[in-house]
Amino acid sequence: MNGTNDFVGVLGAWLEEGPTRAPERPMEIAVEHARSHPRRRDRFGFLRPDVMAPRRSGPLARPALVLTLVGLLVIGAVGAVLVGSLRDDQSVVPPGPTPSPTAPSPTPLPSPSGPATLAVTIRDDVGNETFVSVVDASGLLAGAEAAEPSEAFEGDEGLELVNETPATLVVSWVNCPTDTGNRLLIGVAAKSMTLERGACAGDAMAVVKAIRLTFSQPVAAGSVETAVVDRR
Amino acid sequence: MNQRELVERASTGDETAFEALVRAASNRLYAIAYRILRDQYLAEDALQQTLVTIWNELPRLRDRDRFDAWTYRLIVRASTAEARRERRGGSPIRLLPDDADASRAPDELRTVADRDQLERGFRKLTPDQRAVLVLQHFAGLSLAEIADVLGIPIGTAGSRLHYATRSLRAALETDARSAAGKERLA
Repeated sequence: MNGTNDFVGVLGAWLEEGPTRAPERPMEIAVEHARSHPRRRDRFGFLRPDVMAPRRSGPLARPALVLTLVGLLVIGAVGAVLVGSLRDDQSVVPPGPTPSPTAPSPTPLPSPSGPATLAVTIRDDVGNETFVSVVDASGLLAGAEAAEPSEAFEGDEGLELVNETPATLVVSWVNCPTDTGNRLLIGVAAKSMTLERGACAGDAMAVVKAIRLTFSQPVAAGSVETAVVDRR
Repeated sequence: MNQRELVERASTGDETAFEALVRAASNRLYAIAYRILRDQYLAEDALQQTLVTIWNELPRLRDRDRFDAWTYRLIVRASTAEARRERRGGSPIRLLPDDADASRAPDELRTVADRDQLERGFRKLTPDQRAVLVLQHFAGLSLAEIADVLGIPIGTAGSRLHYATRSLRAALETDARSAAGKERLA
């Protein structure tokens, strides 16, 4: 069996062994589920992404989100035009004394910039779509996108960080499938990461979620302290 | 009624069409799940999860002709999730499947020792690696079809298959060396 030539044949033959008939129970449960969850008319179904569409991450993965953003942009643009025209009207002032060149210039308001937040749409390993809010207090985050859990993922209860490149980390964790909103907080200088997730109830089957974080400078997985907080 | 019509009707809420669909697909899906998981109870759980997801998500399958590829994707995801969950929970009790019949084994699989060696080597692979091997060597999918089913680039599918094969060969060779060492000591 150890010969090179027949390895594929032996593997194929071995895989042919084993059951080929499915037990009745899963079918019965699925049919019962269908009967107890009759399909309702989904008026916004056309906005939902195709389950076999190529994987995309970010806002483009969600047509409804894109439409909302476009709507907000249009409202913002209309608002800006209206405010601009109002200012044009106010700018017609009666002639008066020329302002003194020594008049104090307006003091710039402090920037209200806080931690940046990115929303990442991901699909867990059983196909459910969910999203993660990434709140970056480090100022080093250059991007975030959905990722495959690393093959070495052991699936313990914590966050697992793996460097794909010196400046790229794949972050994986387990979660219950009903928890569709997780929050990942990146601490100062990217020295810590805290995941907030919903607590699982009952015997919900855990799923694995993963995102890829790209930083503007190298961040070593081993140098990041991680924590997971279960919301109640 | 052909599969496309069944998919069409099930997606609009026809439970009878859904039942016909799952009865037609279950054997194929269960066989895949069992071969990835090597455990009939875990395979049963993966199948159940997949069938429920089919009902819930079917309206979002735009191209009805891709039902088979989509269900392959679902069963692989459910199986790898089960495998990961199992790793977290410790080793399960392994039982031989009811209809496993060694007398039907093809000639290439010559001895019980070969089977045991493959079983041990296969279990050492990651769930993703097992999945690509099963899709190619059991389901008979091409590399392009595997990439489509898994939703990954074809290059990634190729490299995953390469590493899976290499890892399995390495596990088998290690196993063979270990057995030879024990024989010499005996």
